[in-house]
Parts: sequence; structure tokens; C-alpha cells
Amino acid sequence: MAECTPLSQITNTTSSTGRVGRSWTQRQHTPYTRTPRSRCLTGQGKTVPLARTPQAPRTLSRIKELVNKTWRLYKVTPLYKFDVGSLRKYSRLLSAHLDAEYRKGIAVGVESEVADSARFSLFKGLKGASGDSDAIEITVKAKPKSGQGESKVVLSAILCSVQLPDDAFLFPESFTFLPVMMVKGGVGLTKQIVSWLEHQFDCHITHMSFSPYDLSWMVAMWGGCVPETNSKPVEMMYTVPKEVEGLSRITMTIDAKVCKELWDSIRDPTNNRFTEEEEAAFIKSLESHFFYHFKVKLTAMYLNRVVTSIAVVDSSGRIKFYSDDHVHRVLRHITEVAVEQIQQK
Amino acid sequence: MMEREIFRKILGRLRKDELRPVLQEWGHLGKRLHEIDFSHSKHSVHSYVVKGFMKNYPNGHPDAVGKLDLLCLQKHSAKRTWAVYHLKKEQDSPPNDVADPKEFEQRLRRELGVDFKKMELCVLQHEKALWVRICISKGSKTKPMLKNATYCVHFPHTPVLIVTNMKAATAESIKQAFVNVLGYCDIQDIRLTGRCVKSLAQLSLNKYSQGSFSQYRLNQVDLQPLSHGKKRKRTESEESITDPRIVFVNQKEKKQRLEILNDTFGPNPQPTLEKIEYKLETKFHGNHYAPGMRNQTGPFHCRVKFEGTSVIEGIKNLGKTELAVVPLPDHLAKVHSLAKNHFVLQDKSKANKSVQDSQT
Repeated sequence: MAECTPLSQITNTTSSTGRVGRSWTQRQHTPYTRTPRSRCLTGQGKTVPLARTPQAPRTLSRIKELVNKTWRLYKVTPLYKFDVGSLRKYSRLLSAHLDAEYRKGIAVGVESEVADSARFSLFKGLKGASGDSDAIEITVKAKPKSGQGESKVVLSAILCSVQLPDDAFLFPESFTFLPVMMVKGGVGLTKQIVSWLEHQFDCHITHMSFSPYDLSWMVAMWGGCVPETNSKPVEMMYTVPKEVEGLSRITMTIDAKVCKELWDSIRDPTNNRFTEEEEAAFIKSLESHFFYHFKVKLTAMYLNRVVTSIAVVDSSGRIKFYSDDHVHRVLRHITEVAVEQIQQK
Repeated sequence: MMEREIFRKILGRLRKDELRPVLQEWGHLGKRLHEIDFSHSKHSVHSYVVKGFMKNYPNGHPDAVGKLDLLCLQKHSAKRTWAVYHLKKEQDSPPNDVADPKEFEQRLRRELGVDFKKMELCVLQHEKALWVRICISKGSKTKPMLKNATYCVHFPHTPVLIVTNMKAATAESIKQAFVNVLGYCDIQDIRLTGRCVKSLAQLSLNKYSQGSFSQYRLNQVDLQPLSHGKKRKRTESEESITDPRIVFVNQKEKKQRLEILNDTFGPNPQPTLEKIEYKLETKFHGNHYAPGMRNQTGPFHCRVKFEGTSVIEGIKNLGKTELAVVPLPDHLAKVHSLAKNHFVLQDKSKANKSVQDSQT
């Protein structure tokens, strides 16, 4: 019998409940044959015995840097011959590339600062399991054009992977798989860095976009996470199809407390995984509440943006974390979605 | 000089083709207006205007800035969000309405001069309404700042006032001044906001002649239908597909739906509203999918916002394209006759009934 841990004892890792057999959850007309591990709310999967030790305080503070900033998400195919020991070499190469681009006249006039130096470094604290590669951070600093003043960070990019699923690519040792890239910085500079990474490591980096189905999963899973302080109302923004002239969006905002009540009533507390039925129940109950009052079919609209107490995600791939305790959970799911999207290509 | 910058800022809001007519109406340039070549760049045209004004009035003119600002606002009133206020009157009190802009200005200056020593006031008439610009300075020595200007539109002989950019510090005094000048006893915010002044005026003034009644207001109804014979009706089909093999099965339902929508919304274009907000405090009604919520007695707090370029038209189109089930509920379909766009939906119960009675 599988051991089930009640939700009230959520820790970073728990003992694995034992994976459910493939045949049991295989359904014919659903996109998933097996409930993906990221639906798992307690963050289990591979046992990571070492992670039981409390994390050093400095790793926690780095996660705090991710919170309350808007990041653009990209998906990255495996990097060929990426060596964690050669970070300095990569920093030099990237700086030289940015300098060359500037001299070519590509970046002239666009930014008031001249990108000066790029630095690769390890970003600790974002690994989910021992099978994951270390997260890498790329910081680009720039000096103001007038030549005076200190150089400040112009772009910050983080390549990470949080709890890769087991059956993701079976690739040889020379490949490093960091499927998620979060970037905060100017568009032109991002393009240059992306093209350099693609050229250097023979990978393919594209914008990550979320379908309404992905967004509805996110709001269903995280709608019930209400931290003690700073809880935000759960918001779902729908865009109206173009045939309806005059109306462009419908936004539904639900108070955090009542949303948690709804979430608790739907959830089966004995099961650690969030199932498709629960997601459907959550979304459909909200849409039918809306339909009762307005007789408008929300199911026909496109879910565009989702706000919960722990994160804001929109369909163009922009994300903002609100709570540092839950960054791992969000990134785990994003990693899963990124891997799926890469596999589908 | 400060005035030069203020002029440049105001002129910068106008497009190139609007400069000449506005400056003509402004009138403070006089003959120098003809000396300006408008084919130059905007920046140089602004410099000419400022120079011309300085030559005409070397010591400045108190109303020049206000008048120019107000004229620019009339051209670009959709850039600001306006809120509608309703003036309340005691029964049988004598009317004190003003239609003349000069008299209105005098009365307002007297009222506001009691509270504020330094202010700029300008009243202009534009399309049957009085547009007022009030700019109050904080200290006695500082000049009034451009961004603190409050703009109001009043339609003479009506209890309607449309206001934008009212600052919290001076709101009460300005509201009280209008109440006193126009001879009313109170002013109330009727929770109607938007960007188009004309639509807001239509919604608040013609509250009882919207929807299908707008046909009567706009003289579109034939008052003597029996005096001439019936014309042969031309059956128009919306689909221009002429292939005879295609048969539309749901023509009847479609026709019924369009008829119901026409009855509720009327055939005329709807007044434009940018946003309609609802605050829902009813019980949860999604119990079919969430049986655990059946025992909940408390209200399910949520807010719903419809946004777009013309939301009422959009709601009509939702019904047309079958994304909404017709007939629509009253609080959605009859927004054109309710003169507000912030609503609170509550369950009908004894406790709420007393609240509703006290509000009406």
C-alpha cells in the first residue's frame, strides 16, 4: 500500500509514496497518460536524503532575489559541452561578443548604457533533486555612456532546472539540460545573449508561452496556497474572441479566503497529487458561478493571465513570484511544462 | 520662465492640425497668429507662439494659461477618466441655474475665493455645456501647478456634474462651491465613470430613454404607421452565401435572439463605457462541480470586471455571437438605463432588503 503523507506536514521532501502503475492512470483522450509529477503538491519524486539537512541561510537569500520581479521565461534545449568549471572562460567570451556587437553598430542608440561585462556564476538554491544540474546565472553589467558613475546590472538571466522528470531526455554525458531560462533585462541585449548561447552550445532557445489549459492548471494548483502574510486575491483574466467587438477582457477576482475554502472542499486530503478531476472541478465551479450571475460562457474565452498569492503568470511567458517559500514549487511546474513543450517540437 | 514651459507643455498635447484652430479660438495672439508658419516643426511653432504671446502681453495675462488648457482638454477629453456627480435638490426650492459662462465664473469665484486665496478659474461654453477649469495653489506664494487642475463639465438646467482629476485636499470645497452656486442642497457620486464625456452625459441625462426607447428620443419612430400602405418587406439574409445547397437550420432561433437583443438594447449605437465592475456578495453557485461547498452559508466574495472600448456594445455582441445566453440578466443588459457602472450584487434576503431600501 502506498504511504500517504497528509498535506499538513508539507516539507521539502518526504518519502516517496511509490509511483502509481502506468495502466491505472492511462486514459485515452487526455494529453497526459500519467499524472505528471509536478502535480504533486508536496514536492516528492526522487528521494534526496541530503536535502533533509537545513539549507544554509545564504542560499535562501538568493531565492529572495527572484521574488517581486517580472521575469520573461524561455525554454532551452540541452546545452552541448557546457562545463561548469569553465564559467570564467564563458564570461570572457560573452563579454567579448557583446563588445563586438556594440562595435558593429547593432546596439547603437538603443540603450543609454554600454554593456560592459558579462559574468557566469552558479546560482545556488534552485536545484530540486540530485539529478538536476546546478543553476547558472548570467549577469551583464553596464557603465553609463557618459563614462561616469558605477556600472550597474543591466540584465540578469538564470538557467535552471528544478526536478526534471525521470523520463525526460536520455542524453549522453556531454549534454547539460537546463530547460528553463528566466531573464530580466532589455530586449535587444536578451537577443544578443540568446544568439550567443545558441551559437556556443548548439542549443535552441525560444520564448515560452502558456496555453489557457496550462494557466488553468496553475490557478487550480496554486489557488489554495494562501500564505499568512501578504495574501493576494486570486484573479483570472480572460480575453474575449475578436468577433465580439467592443468588449476586450473579462476579469474575475476571488477573495483569497473563500478561494481557499473552495480549494479545500475540492481537494482529497489523502492524495498528494493534484488530479485532473480536481482541476476541472475548480475551474468549472468558478465558471458556473460566473454563468449563474451573468449568463456568459467563460469556457469560450481564452484565459490570458492568472494571479495567485504565490505567483502571477501570463500567457506570453512573463512570471512574477510573490512568495519565496513557494518559488521551488512554481519552478518545478514550469520545468515540467518546458520539458513537455521541448519534447513536443 | 515658468510660463514658457507651461505653454509648451499644453501646446505639446495638441496635434499639428489642431494648433491653428485652437490658437484662433484662444485669441490671445491676435494678428501675430497670421505671422506664424505652421509648416515648420512642432517645436519651432511652439516657440513662435510663446514669443508672440510675450510680445502681446509682456507682463503676462492671468486667464491665458487656463483658457488654452481648457481648449486643449476639449479636444482630447478622452485622455482623462471622468466621474459623474448628481446634485440633489430639496423639493420646491427656487431654481438657481446658470447658463451664461461669465455669470457662472463670477459666482464660482466668489464661492471659491472664500476658501482659497490663490487660484485660477476659467469657464468656457462648448457644445451646450459649461466647461470649468479650477487650479488651486497649495501655498499662498506658490503658483498653481498644471497637474493639480480640476476640470468640470456642467450642463445648464440639469443636476449633472462631470468631473476629472479632483484632488482629495480640495474635493470637498469644490463640491460645496458647486452646490452653493447652483442652489442645490447636496451632491452625490453616482458611481459612473468613463472616458467619453458625451456618453457619460447621455447615460446620466437620458437615463429613461435608452435602449429601445432611444428610437423615440431620436425621432425614428413612425407616428402615423397607418397613413401609408405597407411596403413589401425585403428579406435580407445576413449570410451572403448564395449556394442553394446550404440550408441554415437555426434561422428561427437566430431571429428570435436578435429580436430579444434589439428589444433590450435598441437599434441605435450604445453609449461608450470603458469598464463595468461588479462586486458579488452572493452565495456560491458552482455547487454542481464542487459539492463540498453546498454547506457554505457565507457569501462568496468576488469581483468581476468587463473592459473594452465600448462594453455595452460588447455585451450586445456577446449575445449576438451566442457567447452569452439570451435573455441576459437585467444587471448586464440594462446598464444603459441604470446610469452607473459599479454594481454590488447581493442575495435577496431580509437583511439585505433593509440595506437596499435605505440606499434608494
